[in-house]
Amino acid sequence: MPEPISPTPSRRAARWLRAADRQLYLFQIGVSSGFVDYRRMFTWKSWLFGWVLRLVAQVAFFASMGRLLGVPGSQDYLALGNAALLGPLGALGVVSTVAAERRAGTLVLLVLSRAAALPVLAARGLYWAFDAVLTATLATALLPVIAGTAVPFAALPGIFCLEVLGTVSCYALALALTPLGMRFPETRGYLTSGVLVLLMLFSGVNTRLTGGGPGSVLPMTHALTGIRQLAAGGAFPWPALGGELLVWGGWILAAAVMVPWGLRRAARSGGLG
Amino acid sequence: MSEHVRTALLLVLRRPGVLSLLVFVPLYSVVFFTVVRQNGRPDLAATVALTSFVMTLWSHAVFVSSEAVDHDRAEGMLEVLLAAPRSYARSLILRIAATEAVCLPAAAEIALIGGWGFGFPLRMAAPAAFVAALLLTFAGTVGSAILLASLFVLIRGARTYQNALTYPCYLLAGLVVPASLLPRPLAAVSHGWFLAWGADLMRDALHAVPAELPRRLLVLAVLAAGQNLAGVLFMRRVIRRARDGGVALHA
Repeated sequence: MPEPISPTPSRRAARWLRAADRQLYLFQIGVSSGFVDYRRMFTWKSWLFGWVLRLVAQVAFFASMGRLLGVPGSQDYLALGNAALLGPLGALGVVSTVAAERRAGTLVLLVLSRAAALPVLAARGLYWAFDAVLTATLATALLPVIAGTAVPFAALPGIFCLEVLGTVSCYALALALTPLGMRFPETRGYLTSGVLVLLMLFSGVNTRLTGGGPGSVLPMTHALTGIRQLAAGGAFPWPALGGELLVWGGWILAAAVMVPWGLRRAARSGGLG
Repeated sequence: MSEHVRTALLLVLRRPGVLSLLVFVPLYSVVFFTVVRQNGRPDLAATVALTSFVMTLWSHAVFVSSEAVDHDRAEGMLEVLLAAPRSYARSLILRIAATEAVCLPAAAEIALIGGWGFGFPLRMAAPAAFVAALLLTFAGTVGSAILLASLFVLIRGARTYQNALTYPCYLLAGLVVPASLLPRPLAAVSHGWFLAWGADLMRDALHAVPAELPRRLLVLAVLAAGQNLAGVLFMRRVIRRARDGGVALHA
C-alpha cells in the first residue's frame, strides 16, 4: 500500500498564503461594507452637530466638574481622561451593530458560510473604532479650547498611538461581548453602559489609580497612564504600551473564544431568527 | 385616563432595554461621588447627586418618553390611532407624562447610593421649595418630551440629533457649574430655559431656603407652562398634518 504523500514545505506555505489571502480579502470586504454603513449613518452635518458636539460637550461637562472641585490640576485631569475615554466609548458601538446584524438576517448567513465569524464581525464594525479614534483625537486637540488644558504639541503623536491602542483594546472587549448582545438584544444598553461606568471608575479616567484592581485588566487603563505621562512632558511610556498590548491580547483572545461559541450556541438553540 | 397611564407603564416595564437608562444614568452618581470623595470635597455630594438626578430626568425624556409616537408608528398602530374618534393627542400626553414619571424613583436610588454607599449625609435644607421646583421641572421635562415626540415624527432626520440633546443640554442647564459661566450667547439661552431655572432652584434648596423663592418659582412655572404649551400646540399640528396625509406613517 503506497504511503500517503505529505505536502512539501513549499506546498504547505503556498496553502497557508492562499488561506491568509482569503482572510485578508474577507476582511477588506467587511471593512468596506462597514464603511458604507458608516457613511449612511451620518451626514457630515449630523456627525458634526449631532455626534461630535455631544462628545466634546461630554468632555467639557466632566472638565467643569474639575472646576467645581476647585482642587489644583483636577480640571486638567478630568478633561484629559474624558477626552481619552471617547475612544473606548465609540468602540463599544460594535455591540449594537452586531445585534443589528441579527435583525437584518445576516448572522444566519454568516453561520452557514465557511468564513470565520470573528474576522468578519471585527471588520464589519471597524468603522466604530475608526470614528472613536477620530473623535477622541479631535477632543484631545481641542482640550485647550474646551477646558484650557495645555497638551504639548510634541506629545500629540505619542498620545495618538496610545489612543489607537486603548481604543482597539476596548474594541476587542466589545467584540467579546457581542454574543450576549446578539442573543439578548435588550442587554445592549446594559453592556455598553456597564462597561463605560466601569471604565469611568477604574481606568483612571476620573479618579486617580491606586494600583492593581479591576483597572489593570480593563482597556485604556495603561494607555491612559501613558497619555498622562506624555501630556506632562514625559518620555514615551513603553511600559504603558506593553501593558495595554497585553490587555488587548487578553480581550482579543476572549473574543476569539466567545464569538464562535456564542454563534454556535445561538444557532443550535434557534436564537438567531 | 388610567388606561393610557397603564399602557405607558406596561410599554416601559416590558422593555428591559429601555430601563437600562434608569439603571446607568443614576449610576453616574457613583462616579461623581467617587470624584468628590477622592478630591476631599464631601460638601459637593448633594450638588453632584442633583446633577445625576436631573441628567436621569432629562435623558429619559430625550430617549424614552419622546419615543411614544414613533413606537406607535413602528408597531403599525399610528394609522388606527389617528383614525380613532377619541383624542390621540390627549392619550399621548398622558402616556408621555406616565413614562417620564417612571424615572422619579431614581432620586431615591441616588440618595441611597450617596447615603449608604458613600456615607454622605444628603439632606434638604428646604424640602418644600425643593419639591415645588422638582414638580415644575418635571412638568417642563414632560413638555419637552411632547415637543420632541412630535418633532421625531415630522422630521425623520431629527432623530440623528438626539445625542446632541444630552451633554450640551447638561452644560446649558448649568448642572455642574452655573450656566452664567458659559459664553455670553449660551448663557442668554440658558437664562430662558426652564431646566436651568429648575436645577438652580433645586440646588439652592439643598443648602438653604432659596433667595427670591416666590419670584423664581413663578418664572420656573411660566417657563415650564410655556414648554408644555409649545409641545401640545406642535403635537396637535403634527397630528393634523398626519391626518391630512402630510407625514410618512410607515416606519
